[in-house]
Amino acid sequence: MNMQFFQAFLDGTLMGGVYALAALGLSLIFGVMKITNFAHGAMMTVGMYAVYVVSTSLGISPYIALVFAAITLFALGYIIQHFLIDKISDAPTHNQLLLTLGVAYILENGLLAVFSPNYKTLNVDDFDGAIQLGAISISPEKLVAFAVVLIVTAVIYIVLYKTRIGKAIRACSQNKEGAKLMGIVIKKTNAVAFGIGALCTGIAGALLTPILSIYPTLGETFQLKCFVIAILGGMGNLWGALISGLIVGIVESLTGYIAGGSWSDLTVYAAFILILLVKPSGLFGRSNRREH
Amino acid sequence: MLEINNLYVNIGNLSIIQDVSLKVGDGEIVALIGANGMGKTTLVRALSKLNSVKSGKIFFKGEDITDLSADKIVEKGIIQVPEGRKLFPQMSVIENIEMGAYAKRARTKEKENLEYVFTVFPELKSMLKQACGNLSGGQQQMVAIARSIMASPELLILDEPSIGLSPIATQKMFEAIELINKSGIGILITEQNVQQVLKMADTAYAMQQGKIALSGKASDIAADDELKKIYIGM
Ligand SMILES: Nc1ncnc2c1ncn2[C@@H]1O[C@H](COP(=O)(O)OP(=O)(O)OP(=O)(O)O)[C@@H](O)[C@H]1O
Ligand SMILES: [Mg+2]
Repeated sequence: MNMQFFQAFLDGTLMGGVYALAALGLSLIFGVMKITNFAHGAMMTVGMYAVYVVSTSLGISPYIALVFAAITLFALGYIIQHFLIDKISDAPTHNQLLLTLGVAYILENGLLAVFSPNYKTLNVDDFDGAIQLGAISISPEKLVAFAVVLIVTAVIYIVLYKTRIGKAIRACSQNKEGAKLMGIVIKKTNAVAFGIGALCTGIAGALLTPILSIYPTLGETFQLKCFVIAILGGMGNLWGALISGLIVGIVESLTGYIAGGSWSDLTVYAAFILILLVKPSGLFGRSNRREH
Repeated sequence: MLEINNLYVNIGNLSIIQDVSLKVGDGEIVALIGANGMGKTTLVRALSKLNSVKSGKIFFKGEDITDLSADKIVEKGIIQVPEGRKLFPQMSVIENIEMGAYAKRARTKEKENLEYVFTVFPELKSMLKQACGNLSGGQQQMVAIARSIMASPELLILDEPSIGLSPIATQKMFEAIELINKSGIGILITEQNVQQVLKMADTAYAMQQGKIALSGKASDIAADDELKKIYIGM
């Protein structure tokens, strides 16, 4: 097989893993609260700057700073849900969407005010150069990012399927009133779920910081990408989000290899529209069974 | 154990429940009957705080619980098996049942309650791993009641447990409810299966247009001519 093709495939898979983690967060938030978080991209950028600031000011590895970013983003998500979105939980859904959009602009403009629109690049000295496997070269940053994605996904799986609060979150996403009747406090599960969703996008941002140059509006492209991935995966379907994330990463990278980088986004979005035309609930979307 | 005084419940601007007073004595079975759309569900939802109370009072074991939130009501031991069951369709049977033990009051008694669930519904044992969404109506109703037992109810509210069930499944459901009641749990049950529920109940209340039209000993109500009128809706 063509080695460059395989190289593109591998790069796409590794980046796709990072997209998948961010989209997993978006899909989780949607699954539990039935709202699309339009601040998801901006939260990712906050994760990036958190890593940048902690790593440069303390002189520590970005992969340790990542833990700080994760905690910050969990707290940010929890607070946004608990103190803002929850307050208007009786309002029509589009008002809640607008609220998350407002949060996005506040975060973005906050970053602009504090860090200026200039690009920032983190110099990572954790690794010495790319890993060479014959004709294939693997970026260690991307490889570590992928490994972290696997670990974080596994932890989220354990939290959602094995812990009390995780089971309560899943229960809420499947039947909110049924959950209330079991004594689950929806306000709390919502805040934790939003926190976990924010943590996902924050960690994704943290993992991208050693790979990309960052600037305050960088999250916007990822916002749209997460949205596409989460819809392809079937909004609220976590496994769907993970697989779709990989697919989008691979399609993007292969298109770039075959036709040139400027075709990547065009192909991804064209494929997205085509798939929706054929299967409106997304690749892995369940038809919405509703209990009542 | 439960006392409702002059309760009013609105849904939006509509006044659905008007001036309802009702009592459930310790360990009693109370039937709440009435035709379609008369307000049974609206009333029991208000007891579990899925609907909010406009005015009136609710007392449980002498304590005013009118203003408690849904989770606090559960912690008091008032557990509801709602209309439509409201199970978690993508969770397995056992996961659904275990969710019943989420409340603090139920955690320490989880093992004991699970054993009790299997004595009431031994047939559940063979379907623990199945996803709830794929079960039949009768099986789902069993899971819903099992889940509520896990919460250690003192008062169990059942909203039309026989709806969509075959006659045999309905019969079994009623037997299970009597068995649960024998263990000392008070029951407030709404039913359209009037004859059957009145045989089992101690006291009955008949609702019409959001008000209590008739109440008394279940056996008296069963023999009352008024009841037929209520069912014709005149
Ligand atoms: N969400 C709602 N919005 C508007 N009206 C409602 C709503 N829920 C109930 N109602 C109205 O309140 C009245 C009582 O309904 P409720 O469901 O409490 O009756 P029910 O006695 O439980 O009937 P059923 O036997 O069909 O379950 C009905 O007229 C119904 O149309
Ligand atoms: Mg009803």
